[in-house]
Amino acid sequence: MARTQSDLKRRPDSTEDGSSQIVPSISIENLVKHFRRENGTEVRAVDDISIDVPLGEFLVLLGPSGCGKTTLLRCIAGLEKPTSGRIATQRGVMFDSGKRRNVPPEARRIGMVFQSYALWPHMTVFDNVAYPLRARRAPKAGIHSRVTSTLDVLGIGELAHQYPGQVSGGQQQRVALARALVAGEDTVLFDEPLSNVDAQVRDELRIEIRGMQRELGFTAVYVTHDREEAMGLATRIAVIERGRVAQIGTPKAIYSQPSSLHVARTIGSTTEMGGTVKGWEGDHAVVNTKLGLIRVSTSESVSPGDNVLLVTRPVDWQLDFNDSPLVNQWRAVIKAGAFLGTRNEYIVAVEDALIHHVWHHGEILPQGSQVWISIPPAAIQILGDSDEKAKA
Amino acid sequence: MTIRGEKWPLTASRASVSRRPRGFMILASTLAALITVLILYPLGATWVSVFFLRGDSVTTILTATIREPDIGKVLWNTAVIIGGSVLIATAIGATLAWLSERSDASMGWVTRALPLVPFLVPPIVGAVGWTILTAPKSGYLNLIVRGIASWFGLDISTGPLNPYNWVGIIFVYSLYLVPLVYLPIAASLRNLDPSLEEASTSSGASPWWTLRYVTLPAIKPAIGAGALLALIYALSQYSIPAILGNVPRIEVLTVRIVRLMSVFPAQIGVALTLGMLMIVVIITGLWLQRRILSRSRFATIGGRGMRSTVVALGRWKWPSRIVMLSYFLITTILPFIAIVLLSMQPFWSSVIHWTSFNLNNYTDVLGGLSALGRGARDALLNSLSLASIGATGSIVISAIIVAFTHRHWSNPLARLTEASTKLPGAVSHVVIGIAFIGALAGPPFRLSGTLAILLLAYLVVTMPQASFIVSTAYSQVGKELSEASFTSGASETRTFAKISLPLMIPGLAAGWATVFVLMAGDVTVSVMLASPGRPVVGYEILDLWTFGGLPTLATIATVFTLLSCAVVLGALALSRKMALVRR
Repeated sequence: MARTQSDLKRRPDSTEDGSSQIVPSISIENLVKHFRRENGTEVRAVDDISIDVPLGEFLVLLGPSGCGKTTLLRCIAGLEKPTSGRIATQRGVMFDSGKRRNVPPEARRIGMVFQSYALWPHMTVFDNVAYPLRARRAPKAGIHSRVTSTLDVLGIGELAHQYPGQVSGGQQQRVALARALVAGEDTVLFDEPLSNVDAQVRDELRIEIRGMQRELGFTAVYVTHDREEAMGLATRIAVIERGRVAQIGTPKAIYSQPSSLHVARTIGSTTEMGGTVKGWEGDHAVVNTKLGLIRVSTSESVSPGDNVLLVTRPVDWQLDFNDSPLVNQWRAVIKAGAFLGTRNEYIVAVEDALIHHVWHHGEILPQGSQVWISIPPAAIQILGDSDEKAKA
Repeated sequence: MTIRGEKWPLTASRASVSRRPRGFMILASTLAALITVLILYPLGATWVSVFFLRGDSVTTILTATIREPDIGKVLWNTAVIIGGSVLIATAIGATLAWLSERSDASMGWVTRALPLVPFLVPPIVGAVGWTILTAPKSGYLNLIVRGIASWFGLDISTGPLNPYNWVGIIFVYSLYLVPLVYLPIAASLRNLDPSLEEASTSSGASPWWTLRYVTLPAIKPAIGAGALLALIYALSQYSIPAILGNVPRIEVLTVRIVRLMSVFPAQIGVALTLGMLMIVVIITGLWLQRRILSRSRFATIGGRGMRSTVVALGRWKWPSRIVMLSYFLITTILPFIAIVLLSMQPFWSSVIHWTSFNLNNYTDVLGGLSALGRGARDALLNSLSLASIGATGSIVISAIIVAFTHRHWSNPLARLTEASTKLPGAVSHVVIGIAFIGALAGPPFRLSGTLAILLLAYLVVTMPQASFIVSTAYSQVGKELSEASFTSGASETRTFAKISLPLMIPGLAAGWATVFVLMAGDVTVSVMLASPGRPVVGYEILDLWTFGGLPTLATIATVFTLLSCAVVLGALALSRKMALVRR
């Protein structure tokens, strides 16, 4: 998917005029990174990934731990040497296995925020943030004002003379952010920066990071396993699965049209059912499932006899107390329920079939309650059957 | 936001993507290459010249080795002494480790101080001290025992204690092997997931059963590692058999090798053959350990900071504590008292002249009044300056090399250096001594009898410890801290100077002290490479022992021990203070 996009564009280093709108900020081509374990087995952490990141984009790499997203990020930063492939930024080719070119991280001019903050404990907050400027031999006079204004923007101006060990986790994260932004690099990488701060600070910082990125216009590549974080930040999300890009697109596109069960599950909770296509009824496909016949409005071209997987979101299920003339409605019994604050979550039984993850608002219903559940045909996604189901 | 209005990219907008020659890389790889050559060249050159370039064929050398007088007996002595002392030390070390880590007999400072014993009172001082305590005629402990016996009407003229026999030698060996065994076992017990033991206890097992069937099997690799360390150390040990083995004619391999190298002409072929025998034993040990570790699963190390349940010893608590304390009494306090007493006497005799206590020996040694005193003073000064220069050089070089090898792991030079710095740990110090004599003493280098050859040999023999400690300090700093520096645009030189080095200081201080004490207290290499014109402490003490001058010996040993203690404790205090600042 990403391939076709990048193929349409011109190679970044072939455009010297630089005026072209489509010059990507980062261009990754056929990147491969293998690791060899102690016991000799080879792990393909990054397995032939190609992505173009346009200027000013906020790209989130989303996937479970161990899927290769952090390795990809570290390859972009230059902290990891890829096995093969090519990485280019606006500043030129950073890595090219064919030409044996590998620019060290200190010359790549890419800022990075680390998961562990990686603040230097022996330097004050001010010195930590001033470090990138000093390392790049910025004029002395400019350093003080630049560091001060950056700290002020992040709301930690009064901490300048404290040591990192003396400030809270959320403040440490702000310092790390300030350090990555202070030199004004046009690309900033984030390696799960919010995974170590508590939930409240996390929401706050997420909004700030997003605001700052839009304001300063840097290109961001952000690694996370948290789907809400991904959707809240991204202009595009790349779902990474076992070292490959499973799907790349806007948060909306990925949520409503996941290309695979894995992507569907990665981006949000799912309620899944297997079935066989029975035929078409107008523009609704009719699928025979354990619940009986389900009508699905879809643009997928399925034909009778196909084994398919129906994927729904828990939030799309409706729970009623009266029978009303709806398609895809069944009589059901509450098997178990949990109060989760913003919603109740139920497991319901339609005869023998259990449906997990049905969300509902309002009073929590006792076990054994008789209800009606329904799902609108447009809220169901058809995925071709397949090994996906076997995997599930 | 206020930063908007400013010219945002403050630094030059064109990145210097081109590869500048990087200063740190050049410095580090040069140092790495030099150290590698310093370690590999003497060993390689001597080996090649002895077995291939000289007139003697390999067969001639082997025949000469087999015909070496009493060689069978020497090997047998070595095996008995090392086997016995390693076994005893392992038993004592494991018991002390368990007592201090897992029982309520634990006393906090014991854990911290026990591994320091060989640094506080070096083996050569300990061996001399124990001789002064237990020599049949004039040993201080014997005087006390005989004095008590005479109250009961028993009149004994010599003994009852005697260091000049198998028991005495194995006893002193064991004392100095215990910390080597204790250290890995205590560390392993500390890291052992306490839930393993708790699961056993909650299954109804008695503490004894838990120890026997859960704890001991889990720490088996640590016991093996400790015993192996003790074996390697005991094989290379020279000062204890040289002090105690002469009178009863119990000669071990190291003593024979040193003797072969000090006759004229030096029997370098035979010495090297015997040295390689030691290497074979060490490498077999290392290989066995690897095999055992790789075959079975010992993945029992849990997270740190877990406090394990402590076994209440009940009425055995105080006896256990007394056993632990008596280890310090035996290894450090008693021999040191003996040495201090003797240093204030005009000569060593079977009667302590309480009236003639004075500091004449100290004025003699520190003021360099007599010939003996001057020699002792020169030795002290030489050792202290060599150790200060050597330890500083060794730690700085190791720090640069470690930073280099960690970042450029794919670089073949980095790997070769990494392997080379470990090599002297598997090669007995005696062999390194032979190699330095063989390769550097004669032409073209002609370093024989100089302080330079001593300094270089000290660097090589302490390289494994230095690089281990520095490497540990480096990994404790955390990889992301230097990576954050690189992504901030800092070069390797800046990253090393501003990030890695300052953060490693506490570890480096400890490493400096370790290397300092090892260099200053070295005996094996010093005996082979030092000369009367350029004495060092280890050489001078043995010289005074052999040719008389015990009060002078005791004086130099006292001064040296006090200095070592001051350096070790000072460095520990410094490193702890620096580590606290960081929190």
